[in-house]
Amino acid sequence: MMPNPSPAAQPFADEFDRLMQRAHLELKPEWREPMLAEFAEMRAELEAIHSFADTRESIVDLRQVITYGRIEK
Amino acid sequence: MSFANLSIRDLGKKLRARDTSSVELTRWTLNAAQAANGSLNAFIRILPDHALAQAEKADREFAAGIDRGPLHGIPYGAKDLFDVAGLPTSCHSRIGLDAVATADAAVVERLALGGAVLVGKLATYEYALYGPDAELPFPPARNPWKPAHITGGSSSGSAVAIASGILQMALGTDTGGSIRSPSSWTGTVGLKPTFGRVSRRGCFPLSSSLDHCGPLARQVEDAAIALQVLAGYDPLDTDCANLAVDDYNAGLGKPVKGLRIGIARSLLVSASEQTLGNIARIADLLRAEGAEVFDVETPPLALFGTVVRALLLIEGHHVHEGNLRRRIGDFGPLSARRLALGAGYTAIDYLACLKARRLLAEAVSAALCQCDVLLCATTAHTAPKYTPMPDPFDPAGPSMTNPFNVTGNPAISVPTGLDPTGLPMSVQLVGKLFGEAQLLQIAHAVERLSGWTDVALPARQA
Repeated sequence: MMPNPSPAAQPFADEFDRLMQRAHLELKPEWREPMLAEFAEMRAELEAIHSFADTRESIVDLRQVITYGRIEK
Repeated sequence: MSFANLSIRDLGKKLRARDTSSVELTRWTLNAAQAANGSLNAFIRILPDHALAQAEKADREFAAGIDRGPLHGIPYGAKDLFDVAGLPTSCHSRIGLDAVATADAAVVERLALGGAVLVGKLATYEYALYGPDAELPFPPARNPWKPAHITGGSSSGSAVAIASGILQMALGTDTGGSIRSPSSWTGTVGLKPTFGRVSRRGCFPLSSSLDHCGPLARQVEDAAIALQVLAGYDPLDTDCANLAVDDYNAGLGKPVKGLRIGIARSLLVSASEQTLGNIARIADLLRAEGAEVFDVETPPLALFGTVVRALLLIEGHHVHEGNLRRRIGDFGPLSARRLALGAGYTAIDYLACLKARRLLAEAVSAALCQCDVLLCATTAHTAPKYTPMPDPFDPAGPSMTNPFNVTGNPAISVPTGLDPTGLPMSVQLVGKLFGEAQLLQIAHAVERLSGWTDVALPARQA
């Protein structure tokens, strides 16, 4: 019997379960509620990341090592 | 004879003057490690046979006039993420207990070539991810300043072995602050070099785009000596930089007059009043020495944290995908929950994280065009009390170290004193890419000006 998620995490519950099943993960029942809360927070953080990444419209070469091409004179 | 209060340079002088031998020093270190381990849990595995064989070799070489450099004959420890041929690399996990390494990690090779003596493998958080977790095959390391307070991690054993006076130097890894945070909370020096400065070959990965290897040490000078041996190109680590290695000791003791120190104010948003007061004190001390100290703009702290969490969970899930599917119950519950969450991201999310990371790095480079180093906090406050299951999103407040895993800049935690309760305080200094020499120069000045060099470590107080 899965415990009921908190109201804030409820909208993500179906998606969370589907993603965990797709990854073939057998989670202990007692992990679901805290993980669902973390998943909801993670989703909010991803919104911030996508918004920030979208502030640069030009193409960024993501293959380069992070130190590449940076000038710190 | 106790060696606890001596620096690597002091020990090297004694070895070369034949005031002591590497075997005597190593025996003392092994005894100190065994005596302390019952209460501090710094070591997962102590290696007397291995260590004494290396020490005997060092003594034979000294007698034959062979000198391999400043770490020759000096004991050190390695976080149990580093491969040592013939030994398990447990990563402090049930899953790694039987994972016997077939070759040495690149940094273990380098230290062996430099004549250093490996005395043991040190405690960490499970796979360097998260902790402290009491449900693992080895107990968590304890803070020698106050055992009821956590050490921070994940290079917890490395920090504890140094803070308790057993070692002068140990190897650590840093994906979001795992060298610097335990250094901050145990009164040790923790140096995360520039991304690519030190090879990661043979070090178990957590998040390949964020992982760094580096030294924890008793003093800034010890860290500089260690980095001199650890740094360098390794063609077998595709992210390792093929750049010349500077002299990291050349600037130690030089004045800071005229150097420009930028306070990264936006990275201090969650710092305690005490931590802010400590930053202000260090800034004043540097100003009094003739440095220019002023505020610089960087992106907000929270944005770095969101990017680190996502990259770490995605890449960490990828590393552990097979074991998560087959034996998730063998992970500790904290690691299992965190790593499993990595399945919740999409490829588009991952690419957005990499793009955001690049933008954040460029913004920090712009800040470092205005100054020589950034001054900020390593941790928001001193070591918190141990709690069995801390909230994964807020174990001890937002990380102040992970911005420089995002950017790859070198960063060092320098102890600066004790708070009124007797817990260590620190500051974090951040250098330009591959600018470790200047970073260490300023860190050395901060260490001296702060008065930390007059503070006795807990093992010496006893």
